[in-house]
Amino acid sequence: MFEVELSRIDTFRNLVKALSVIVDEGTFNIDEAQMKLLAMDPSHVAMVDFELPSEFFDKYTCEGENRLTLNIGEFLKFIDRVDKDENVKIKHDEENARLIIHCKRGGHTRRFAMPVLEPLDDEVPQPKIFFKASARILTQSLRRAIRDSTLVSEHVKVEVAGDVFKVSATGDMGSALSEWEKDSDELLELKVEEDASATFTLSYLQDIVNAVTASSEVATLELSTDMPIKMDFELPQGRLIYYLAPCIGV
Amino acid sequence: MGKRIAKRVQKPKNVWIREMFSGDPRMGSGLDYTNDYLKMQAPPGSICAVCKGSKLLCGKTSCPVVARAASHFNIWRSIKGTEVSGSSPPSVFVGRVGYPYVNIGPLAPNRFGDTSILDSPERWMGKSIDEIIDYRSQLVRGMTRVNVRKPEKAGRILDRTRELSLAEHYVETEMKLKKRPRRSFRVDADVQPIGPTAPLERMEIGYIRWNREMEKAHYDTDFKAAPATKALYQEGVPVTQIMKAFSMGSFGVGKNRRLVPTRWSITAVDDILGKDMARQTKNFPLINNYEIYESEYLGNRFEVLLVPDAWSYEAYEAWYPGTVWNPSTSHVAIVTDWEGYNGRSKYASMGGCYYSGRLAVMEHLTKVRRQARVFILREAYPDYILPVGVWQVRENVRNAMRQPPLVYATLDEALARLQSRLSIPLEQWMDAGFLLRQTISQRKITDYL
Repeated sequence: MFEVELSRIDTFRNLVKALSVIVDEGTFNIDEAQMKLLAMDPSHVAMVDFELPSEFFDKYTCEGENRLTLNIGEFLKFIDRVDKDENVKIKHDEENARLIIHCKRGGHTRRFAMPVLEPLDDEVPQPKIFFKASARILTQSLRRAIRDSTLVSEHVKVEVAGDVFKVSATGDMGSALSEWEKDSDELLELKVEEDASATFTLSYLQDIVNAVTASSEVATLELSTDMPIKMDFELPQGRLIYYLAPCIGV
Repeated sequence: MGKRIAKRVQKPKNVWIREMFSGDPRMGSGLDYTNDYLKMQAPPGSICAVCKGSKLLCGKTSCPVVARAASHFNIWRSIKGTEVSGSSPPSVFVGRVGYPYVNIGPLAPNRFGDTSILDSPERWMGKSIDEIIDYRSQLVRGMTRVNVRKPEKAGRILDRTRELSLAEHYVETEMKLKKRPRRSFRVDADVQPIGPTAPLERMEIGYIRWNREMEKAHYDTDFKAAPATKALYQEGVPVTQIMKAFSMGSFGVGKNRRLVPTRWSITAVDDILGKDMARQTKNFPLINNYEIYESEYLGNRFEVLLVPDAWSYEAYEAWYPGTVWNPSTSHVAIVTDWEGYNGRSKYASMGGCYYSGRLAVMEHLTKVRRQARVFILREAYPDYILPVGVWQVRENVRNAMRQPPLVYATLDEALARLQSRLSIPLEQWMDAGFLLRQTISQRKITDYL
């Protein structure tokens, strides 16, 4: 039994949107305290670690452990139909394997039902990486640097060298570079144990950062040379972390 | 007193072409070359005018003009006057020039009997280029101009042409042309082989039996075109038959029905079916190993590489200097396009071949119920002397997928095999495209768990 209520849909929708860029079908693990999702993209290049506490919702009821598998893209389509000023109730109808979305405004109600899928059997563990450097940066600032890079290349290099955090790309059409010095306005924190740099596929980064900007203002990036990057996007409530595997030898 | 002119004689044009043909035994010696009978034109500055079929200046391994000319002369001799009667394979054509006012009409040879082979690319695999040119050239095309959105205004010619497109067998057809087909023969290296064409005055057709499934879809005016296409394919109707009916606007919601230029309808059907199968394949488990499928036909080598990864697709075409789409003399041209897991919404820049190849591979993957990342690498050699149509890609890749696969445990081994079969270094393929390099360089998050 699982049921939540929300007076405004937009923050929740933004989070679902941020999940949908990575996850095709995902299983939410839900208990009394929170809902969790740990899932990879179909190619297993990126992973998202998502957690939302019960306090996020206006009303949260959950009895025991619940597993809820959805096609996230389809879920987003339904959520997109909900108006801003509508009251929403989302409910798991276990008998019919349906997710019911109730919207209410004044005396008018709308009701959507979407299929709940069979739980995916592959439980994924968290990646184990020792990061050598980390940078806490404004999401907007990061997003701008990534958009710059798309002008010239399909890959982007993220680098911490000494007291500088760099995002750069080089291609046939030219190159793009963003640099933040330690203690600059947009770079809130920089910890360096060892210089680190790794290259990533831009389309993944771009999708993630574009979708997350609406939910999070500050991101902490953790790096190690030629290892996956960890991107922790700070939320008012809950947790949203992405891991993205690097490209070697581009 | 000036000289009295007794008679003005037109200066003979393109004498060299006649010399070229009279010198070629394949043309037959009994040809009549009067101006009235046949006109031959070469575009200005054409290398054909210098080469005359003997020196192969275009870089191809045999002269495409000569190849076309033989069929052209034969069909020409068989047409007397303005009446053409014979069995349509069945075959129809919708032009794209002047859209939305396009030329449409039936195609039929000037002979009776089982002519179905003339327009069934599914059965052409393995035929020589000369045979294929011959099939194409035999079909006489009657034409009438129609607004694609108002086909009902075009009257009986259109109705009968549509009936032809829904037929499941060859149909006796009589065409009364307004005038004799144009006599000009374009002497150019890169022209698709097509038969004689003339405006159509009226047409009659004999006994006809429609394909039952297509008939159902045709009469259901609430059945959208894309689901109808999928349903017909499921029922086993050959894709080229669906394409014919699709081009005549036989499917779709009643008020939205329109004629679709043949070229566009071919790609539309390839795309609708391929996209649908790509969607299905996402539910299937990945293949276990790296697989390579190969085929070579009509001067085109296809290497299909399947990688055990989520569905995505990249196609490459490398055109040798002097092949149809690469007139340059020194560089190989590589064109490429790709799509990720979620597909693409823009038309692939490399054209219809992208979609035909995808369809052929997806047919295989849905049959074996597996998912894979797909690469199609194509090298077109100088012995591909004429563009014959995208069916060649579809059938060539289908043929590749029918072969037992070469199975490799690692990507490196598979790439080594590809390299041994292709004459262009893999490094150059990778520079041209995105996904192949990506497959080699991109690590997985599962490597770090």
